[in-house]
This record gives sequence, C-alpha cells and structure tokens, in this order.
Amino acid sequence: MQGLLTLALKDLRLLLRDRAGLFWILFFPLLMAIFFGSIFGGGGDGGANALPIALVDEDGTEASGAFADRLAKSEALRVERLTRAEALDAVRKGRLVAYVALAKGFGDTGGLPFGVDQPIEVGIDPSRRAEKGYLEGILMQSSFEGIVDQFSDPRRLQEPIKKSLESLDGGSDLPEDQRAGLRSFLGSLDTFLGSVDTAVYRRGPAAAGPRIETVAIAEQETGPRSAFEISFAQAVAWALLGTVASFAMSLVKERVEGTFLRLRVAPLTRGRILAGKGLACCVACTATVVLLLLVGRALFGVRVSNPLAMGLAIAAAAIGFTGLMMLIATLGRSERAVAGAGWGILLLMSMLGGGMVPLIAMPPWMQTASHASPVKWAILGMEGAIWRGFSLAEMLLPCAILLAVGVVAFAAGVANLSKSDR
Amino acid sequence: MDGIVAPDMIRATDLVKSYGAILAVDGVSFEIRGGETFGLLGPNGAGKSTTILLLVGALRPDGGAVTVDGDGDPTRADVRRRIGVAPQALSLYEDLTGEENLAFFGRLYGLAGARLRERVEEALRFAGLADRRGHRVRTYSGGMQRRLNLACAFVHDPPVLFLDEPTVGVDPQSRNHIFESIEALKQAGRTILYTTHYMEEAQRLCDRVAIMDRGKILALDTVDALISRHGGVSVVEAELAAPPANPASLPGRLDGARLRIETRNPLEEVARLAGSGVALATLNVHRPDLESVFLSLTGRRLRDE
Repeated sequence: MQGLLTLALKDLRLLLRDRAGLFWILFFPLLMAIFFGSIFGGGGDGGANALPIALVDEDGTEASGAFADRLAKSEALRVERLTRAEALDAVRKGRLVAYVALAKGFGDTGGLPFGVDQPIEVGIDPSRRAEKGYLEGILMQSSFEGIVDQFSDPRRLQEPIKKSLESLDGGSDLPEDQRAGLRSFLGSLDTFLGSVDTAVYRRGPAAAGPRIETVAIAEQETGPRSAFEISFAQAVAWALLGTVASFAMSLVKERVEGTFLRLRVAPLTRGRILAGKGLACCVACTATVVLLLLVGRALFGVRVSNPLAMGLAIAAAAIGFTGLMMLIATLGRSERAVAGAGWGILLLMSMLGGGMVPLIAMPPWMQTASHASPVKWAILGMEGAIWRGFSLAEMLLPCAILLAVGVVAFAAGVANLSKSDR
Repeated sequence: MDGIVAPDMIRATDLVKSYGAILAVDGVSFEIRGGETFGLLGPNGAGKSTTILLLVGALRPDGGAVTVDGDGDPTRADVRRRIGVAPQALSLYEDLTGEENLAFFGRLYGLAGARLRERVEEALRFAGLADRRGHRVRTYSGGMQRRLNLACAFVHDPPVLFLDEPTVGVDPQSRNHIFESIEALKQAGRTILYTTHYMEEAQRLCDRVAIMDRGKILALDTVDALISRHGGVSVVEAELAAPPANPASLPGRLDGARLRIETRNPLEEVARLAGSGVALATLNVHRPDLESVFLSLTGRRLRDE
C-alpha cells in the first residue's frame, strides 16, 4: 500500500507542478463552461427576464409623467424613454420588444384614459402575442394604480368634474331632465370631494385597493435552471478528457525517459505500478470535477439536486476515464504518437458524446449515435445529478457503462503495455 | 580479490534475447562474485544494456536463466530490494527536486521515517548535491543529473549494483566524481556490474572484464590476463641521439635513428638499452590495453562503432 500511495502522490505532485497540464485540466474547461453558459443565455442577471420596451411621452403632462414613472418602477419591464422615431426604430430592429406611446391630451383625462380619444398606443410585432398580452396587462395594472392614486387625493378629481359641469352648461345634447340630474350629481360630488379630509381618506380601504398576497410555490424542475447547468456538465467532460490526456502523456513520458524502467526494477509488480498511476488519475479526475462544480455553484448557481447521485456519477466517471487513460497511453511508444492518437480519439468522443454540442440540443439520430461515447455517459450522469432529477436507479445505467468502460479499457491497456515491454 | 573466492552473487547461464529478427543477446554466461566489480565492455549495440535488463528481471529471456544472491529470481520483490539499478538513460523526474527524487525511490524500496532521511542525506552527499537538494532536477547540469541518477540506485543501500554506462555524456569533473564514488562503493564491498564502452574506465574500475560484441561474450578475465592473452606485445620506441657503434648489438629494428622493439617485457628491454651505452634522445613505451584486446578479438576498434 505504501508503494501505491508513493506512486500516486508522486504523479499528483508532478501534475500540480505542470502549469500547462493544469490549464487543460482545470482552466480550459472552466472557460468553456463560462463561454457556453453565457452564450446560451445563462447570465443569471435578474433583469434578464424583464420585457424591454420604449416609452414615448408626447403629452408631457404631470399625469403622463406619473404614468411613465409607474411603468418604469415595474419589475416586469425595462423601460427606455425615447422619441417616437427612436422607439419605432428600436422595435423594428428588434432591440426592444415594443413601445408605449402616451399621445397629446393624455393628461386631460386626469390620467384616466377611459373612453377618450387619446388611447395608450402600443407598438409591437403582431406575431409576439404573448408579449402583447403581457404588456397590456401591465398597462392596465398601471392605469388602475393611477386611479387608486387619484382617489387617494380626491381634490385632484375636482378639476375634471368642473370641466364636465362646464361642458353640460355649454350646450350638451342631453335632454334637459337628464342634464339637470347629472348637474345635481356632479355638483354634489364636487362639494363632497371639497369637504373630504384627505388624511382620513388615504387610510381607508378604498385607497388600499384589493389585498393581494403572493405565495411562493417552487415550480417542479423539468429542465436546467440555467444554461450553466448544461455548460458545467460539459466542462466536467472536458476536464476528464484533459486529465486523461495529461496522465496518458505522463505514462508514455516515463516509458520514453526511463523512469518507468526504474519503477519496473523496484520491488513492485507491474500491476501495482499501473494501479498507482491509475489511482493518481482517478484522484485527479475526482478533484477536478469537484472543483469545477464548486466554482459552478459559487459563481453561477449550478445546483446539484442529488448529491448522492453526483457522488456516484463522479466515481464512475473517474474510474471510466482512468481506464481510457491506460488504453490511450499504450497507443504508441512516443509522446508524439500518443498525443496525436490520444487527442484524436478524445476529441471524437467529445464531439459525439455531447462535449461540444449539448446532448439536449442534438438531433435524435445523433443522440442515438452518442451512446457509443463514454463522454455521453459521463455528461448524462452529471446532468442526472444536476438537473435531470435522476433517481439512484436511473443513475445505474450511465454509471455501470462508465465502470465497464473503465475496467475493459484498463485491462486492454495493461495487456498492451505488457506485450510491448516484453 | 586477493585469492579469496567469494560465492557467486550473480549468475547468468546461456542467456538469449531477441527483438524480432535481431538477436541482441546470444548465449551469454558468466558469474559475478560477491564484492567484485565486473565490467561488460563493448561498443554501442553490443547487447550490454539488454543483458542488464535480463539480469534485473526487467526483460524476460527467450532462453537461459539468471540467479541473484544464490537462487534468487530477480523478478521477486525480496531479491529486487537487494538490487540497485542506474539505467543508461537519465531516469529522473525533472520536476521533482533532487531530494524528492531520492526520497521517492527510497520509499519504493520500503524506506520510511528516520532511516529514509538518513539514506537520502547519505545519497545527496554521495552525489555531491547536498547544496542543491531543493532545486528541481531540470535545473541541474548534465553531470549533476548523472550523479543523481547513480545516487538513486544506491539510496536504499543495496549490496548489488547494476550501473549501465554511468559516465555517458558527463564532463571530466563529474566523471572523476563518479569514479571516486564507485571506488568507494567497491571498497564498501558492494557487488557491481558496470557496463561501458570506455576501455580506460573498465581498466580503472573492474576486477574482471567481459568483452562483448554482437550479443556474445568474446573473452572474460582480469584486465591483465586479457591483455596478456589477447593484447599482443608492448612496443618500445627510441630515438637515438648518435649513431650506435655496433648497430647489430641493439635489440629490435633500427630505421635511421629510430629504434623499435616489440616485446612482452618492455621494462627488461629498456634496462638493456640503458646498459648498452647508446645515447637516447627520446624513449616511449606502448603497452597493449583493452582497446588492443578488442581489436585483436574483433578486428575493429571499440569507438569506431
């Protein structure tokens, strides 16, 4: 056991001193995760889901300004104040989803745009039905908030009432009896509003509006919570490939430079020497994956939904890829031969197995073809534990395949090595 | 060996090893006694390194047998603990320090704790690298790396050492250091198998030498016996200061003022010259060496290969 640990610790120490190796094992996969996570929209910015719109205030009154302020405060919108021409251009070019225009005369209604000739104009591509309905709902909400504001200060309602009384007196088409009744009603309302104690009124239930309570209900997860949950699973695959390549190269380097001969004449069996290399590779794979997931968790919100399943996935992947390392290390007798053949095979595995294009984005035929790549099973295991919500039973298939690949490839590598060293 | 016959420490019997169609070792047999320094002398490609790999159990022979320290099979762990090997290639981890390399190989042979520290210190002193112990091997000169390569074979204090061309590519200063180190190991009673294609190394260090070429051992004996048997005669060359009064009384062949004497006893001939009363301007004595032996046995020079 001392020999095995001595061999493994030596390899890990050498790995830590190899800056180029560490780049490919750790930093390159991390860069890949961040790059792909970002371009697939996993930025994690809270404002990313707000609807970007333009607001065109052509009225320029206190009422239109208040309406615009209410829209701007909405968490559902990201509002830019533009001229009509700018707004039209931004929507046409797709930079903004829609524009909302408050026409001249909007303030004449006291901010109550009901039944008047100056509607709130919404400019949006007709095909964006969902966003249109969403935006109309927000506009309605904002209007009602305006009404609540008006009623919280009743004296602000007196001006439109006075305008209505003047209109009645100025020659309305209404019959005289109806005009008299309306005049009496509006006069009483005006008198009432003038006598109201606004402080008391603002505390009343009418001013508060309906009481709405929001209850947080977590949606059942059926997909990745962010693109980073996909890109970090891919990054794990790249880290495994980098580790495999690095250790395969270290084994062939030992054979070329003679240190492997020195190990072979030490009181160790060949199996123990290779097991030491394998142990170091396995530990490096595990440490790299854990480190990547911790970075993903800390900086990009990647959550492991099933830690036990993740443990299984990491162990199986580490063993599987350690076996591959041993096989790849024996594909040639020189560093150049192993580097060429090794990276060629690993890149093919990665391409087929979802290391470059996420499994979720592959066409069905390619998903079927990906079964042949151990990278696919490693990514599937990671995704199963991160966002696919795999049970332990569901984890068995990818883990068993990786373990089988590991055992078979390790045995084949040892056999190759024994043959070539005879 | 001073007439005391020690038991055989290493015995090779009819060793045969081929790489495909190339017969690298062809029926090699010899015994190395305990405490003996045994040289395998031959040009590059003679089969010396393959023979060492067979002796230490790193290669399986196609035929023949090897025993170490009695009936020990060199593939057995307990036998390997008593063997130290310095391969011809610099077999070191360049990104570990000298001290880390020694400690690593010491641990592989079961050393630990105070004993390991003590042996690492000893090996660092042996290699003259105590002041560079904490530096990575890639920063060492070629000679320092070669000395460390030798020290790694010795760190676990084995009684038997296999040193495969330990001075290849080193500067004269490091070569002297290595010679002195090997002589110290020899004095301490280690059994050493030493391969080289430098005849002066074999002459200086080895009690017995096997001349090897094309996978076969051509001759095996002490250096003096080999020279005596295969090296031919010594040559005494003199330039006379004045023409001799009686040229016929001089031994050898006179060509003008040059006198050349071929003899098996050069000292006796020099004494005779001195007693003959001729005045000599110069005098040179050429004794045969292992180079002459190799030339005599193969018709080729050692370093022509």
